Amino acid sequence: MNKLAAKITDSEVEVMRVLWEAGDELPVSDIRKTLEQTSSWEGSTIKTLLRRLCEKGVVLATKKEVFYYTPLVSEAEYNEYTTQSLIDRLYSGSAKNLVASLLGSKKLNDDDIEELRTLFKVGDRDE
Amino acid sequence: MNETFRLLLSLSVSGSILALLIFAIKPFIRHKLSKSIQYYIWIVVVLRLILPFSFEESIMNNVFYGDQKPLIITSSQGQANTYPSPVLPNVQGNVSNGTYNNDADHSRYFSDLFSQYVFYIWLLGVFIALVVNLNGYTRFSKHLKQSNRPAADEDSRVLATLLKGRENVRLARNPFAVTPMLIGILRPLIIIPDISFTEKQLKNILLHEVVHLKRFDVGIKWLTMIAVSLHWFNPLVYFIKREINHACELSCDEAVIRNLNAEEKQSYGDTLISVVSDNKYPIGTLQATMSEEKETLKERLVEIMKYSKKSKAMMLMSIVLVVAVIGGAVVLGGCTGKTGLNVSNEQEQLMDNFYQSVNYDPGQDLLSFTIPKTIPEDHKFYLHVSGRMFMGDKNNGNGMSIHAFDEESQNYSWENGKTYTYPLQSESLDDCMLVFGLIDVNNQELFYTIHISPDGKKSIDNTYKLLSFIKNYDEKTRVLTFDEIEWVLQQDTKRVGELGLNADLDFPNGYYIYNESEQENSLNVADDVKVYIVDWSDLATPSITDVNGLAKRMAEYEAPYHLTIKDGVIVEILEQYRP
Repeated sequence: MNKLAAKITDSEVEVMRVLWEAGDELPVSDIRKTLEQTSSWEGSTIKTLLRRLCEKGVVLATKKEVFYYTPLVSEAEYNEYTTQSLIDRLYSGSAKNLVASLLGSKKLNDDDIEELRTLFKVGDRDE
Repeated sequence: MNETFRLLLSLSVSGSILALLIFAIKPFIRHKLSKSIQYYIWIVVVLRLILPFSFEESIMNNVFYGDQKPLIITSSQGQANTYPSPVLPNVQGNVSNGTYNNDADHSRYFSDLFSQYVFYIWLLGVFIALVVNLNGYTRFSKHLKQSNRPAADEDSRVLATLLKGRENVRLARNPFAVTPMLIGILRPLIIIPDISFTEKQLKNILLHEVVHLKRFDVGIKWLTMIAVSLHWFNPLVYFIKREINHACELSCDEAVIRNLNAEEKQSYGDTLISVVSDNKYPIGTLQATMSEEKETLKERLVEIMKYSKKSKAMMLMSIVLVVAVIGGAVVLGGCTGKTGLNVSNEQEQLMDNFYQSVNYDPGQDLLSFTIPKTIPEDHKFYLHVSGRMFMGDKNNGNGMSIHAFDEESQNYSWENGKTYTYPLQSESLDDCMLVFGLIDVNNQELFYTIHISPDGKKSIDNTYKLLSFIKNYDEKTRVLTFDEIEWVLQQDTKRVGELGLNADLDFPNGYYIYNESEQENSLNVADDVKVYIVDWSDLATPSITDVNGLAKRMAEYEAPYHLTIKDGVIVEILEQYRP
């Protein structure tokens, strides 16, 4: 889920907020109505943002009489992602200078892990 | 150069030399000595960078103070006066009085300008570095702590077993913590990621953090951050920081596995790999830094595999190394300056010797003093002997000034090592003064005055007075430019004769202003300078004013002023009544 949340840009979040607020699937006309009050976006801009969100798999479009849009990433998931990335950013910025951690903040991919596991075999030589 | 910055610079050089030596021997000790030793010697480097402690003869003190050491003269009262070396050069003042006129390529102008602002640039850098670090850390711990969850009873139980109830540390789980960590100095807190660990993994993780806690590693990290912030301009400190962080982790691992058997060691290393492999979060785009992360972990794992107890010879060598590094740190020192009562150095000795050589014997009516045998290179020895004698009745106020050795004073032609004598009748002596000091190539001067009273007692102070016309006062830089003169009274027949003046024609108002040379000097005016100007309605009591009053007065009327100079700064300005 966090992988999806990472793909949401700042302007796309505005569209997502409308969907989260509604708590239900919405047609593009309803989304536009709400966004017109808070932003100066054209209808085409909103359509583009929705198309991009659908392409990323963050929003699901269901065809009824018109397209209805459903968020696939919840607000909680998104907030968790932003907190996580903020904390990661602060950690790699200067906080890691001031805490004693077990390891760095980066994760290794499966190939690297496999390599390390193969390498790490403690013998009995000094026992 | 500013004293603080000079000290900082010396610590930077000192720490860098030490660090370079350690970098040089690192290949030889890396696999031989224990990781803790390698960590401790880096701590010595960090302490060297921060602590301004130094003993008198440290290398840095000698390098940075060279032959312009502060002067200390023990006065007759047994007190010591310390004279700091000259302050920041005053560029504007020097421009206005033509110091740079022969500075063809302007190098001196720019170097002075540089040293004037470099301190503030440094200070700004330190400020920015501290703000960035502390702000990042504060926000990090704030956001992290908001999402802390209390640790499970199981977690606390494992921790308690490891601590055996000795240390005071709290434990929390946090979904946003990517790696287990120890945070805080005063109220330490261990934060572990909120994912499921086996009891073995949990124990290994906590073992590592408890070692950090016991060794006060978070404190070392803070010290390192402060050292890096203070020495931000020194590229070497960033390497030092990397080394110390690396050495910290390696030695922490070493301390953890010291008492573990092969199976437990395997389990510890496996835990490290597990924590780093947890794939809860997306692998970022920074593939490049990953490999660094991987290399670091690889090295740690290899060290865990290779760990063996060190031999006695190696332990002995470790002790020798630590002692050598600490010794090196002490010898390198920092330039804290040479102050204190028991300090001895060339110039101070010279000044003190001269003071001791001054003698007035009222029985024989003879003043004697000995010029120092050797004068430091690039310096001139200045000495001016003057005084006042009573003429006739002591109470009638008539006096005669004494100016001895005019020729030597003006041309600095005193003969080194020679003892000079001058007859002074004690019954008519009012006061005798010997103003002396060293003048360096930049005309920076620090003069002292020895006062001799008719009974032969002498005393010294670090002030001297001179009478001069004020040529200019720059409000912005507080620099006063003046031309020294001599005030000759008509009745001072001896002096009138010496100067070849005509007692009948040259003294329309009873005095003559004698100006030997038109040479101008500039000095800074103290912030709390006392200014006295003549009150024309009450000549006996001059009125007190400030530099603004002085400027106003100077615009109205030209008169000589008595300047009192202390530590090279004008502290008092008194207008001479000029009928």
